[in-house]
Amino acid sequence: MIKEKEQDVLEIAGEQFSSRLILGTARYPNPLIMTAALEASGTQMVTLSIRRHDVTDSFGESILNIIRRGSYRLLPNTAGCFTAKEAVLTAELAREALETNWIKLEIIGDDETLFPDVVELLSAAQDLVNRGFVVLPYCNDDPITCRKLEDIGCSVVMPLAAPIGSGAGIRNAYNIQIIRETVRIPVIIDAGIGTASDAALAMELGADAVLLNTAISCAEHPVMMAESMKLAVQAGRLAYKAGRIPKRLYAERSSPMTGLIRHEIEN
Amino acid sequence: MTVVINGKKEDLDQPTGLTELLRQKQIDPDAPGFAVAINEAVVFRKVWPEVMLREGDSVEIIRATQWG
Repeated sequence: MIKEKEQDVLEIAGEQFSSRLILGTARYPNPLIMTAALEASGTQMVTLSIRRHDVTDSFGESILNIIRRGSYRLLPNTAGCFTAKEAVLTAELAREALETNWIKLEIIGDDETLFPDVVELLSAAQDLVNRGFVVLPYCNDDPITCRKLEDIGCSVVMPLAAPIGSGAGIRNAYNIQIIRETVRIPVIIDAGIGTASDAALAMELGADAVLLNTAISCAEHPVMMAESMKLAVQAGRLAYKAGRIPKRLYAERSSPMTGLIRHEIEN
Repeated sequence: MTVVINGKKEDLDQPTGLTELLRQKQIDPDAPGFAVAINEAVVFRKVWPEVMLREGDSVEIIRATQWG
């Protein structure tokens, strides 16, 4: 059993990860708590944004120095981009700044929902794959979009559970299941996870990993929540592999009906 | 000479190299985590010392930061 668990690795673009939890780095109360939370979560990959130099970094010390000490794989993202053109330039700058060709591709359609703009996303994904990037696209929970992203050559698909930062949990579990059955590349549930049960459900539905940020960084006790997310992802993954029982409308006895003590006298 | 740096117009008194501009902005050109684009094209780090800014150039200086 333990041996089987050890072999259960997540593989993305030929790279193996034993942790199936990927974390964002935003909105932590301070760098100390962020560092402790990353550690408690057991994550091996963290995502970072690319911003103009003069944006004030509230953490003082370079985020890069803090994260590099933990030897996490860096996953730069294109958060904040509205067009394919902006996202491709951001990805190119990220590749130069962080010396990685991995990019979490995020192109949003508006400020209210932060839902992905599918037209721009597909166009940017194609362009970035052509430019040699390992593309991890944040997308809608739409099986058709996911299939197209796989056809383009993306390394994973990252359908949302619910809007970014909403903590609303998985709004459309059926679509996540269909996506799992539609694509062969890893499915990573990104955005909308609110608490441990949401992460466990994502994994039980067959997701290969979960990416989250706010649920930990804005929890009352981020480090405690980070550990709970680690356990939830592990529990959900095990439950998925174990194969759950089907849901039934009516009861089904778990003990046999023979040999029961009855008051009726048999003829 | 007027150039645009991270969306803001700036006047430079004399011909300025990219590396010199970075130093003026308190950036160590050898520090990791930064990247530069001029006129929407990435300028690779190895050619920074050779790049001179030209009138009207739009320079983006970026770095990795905590988010999403």
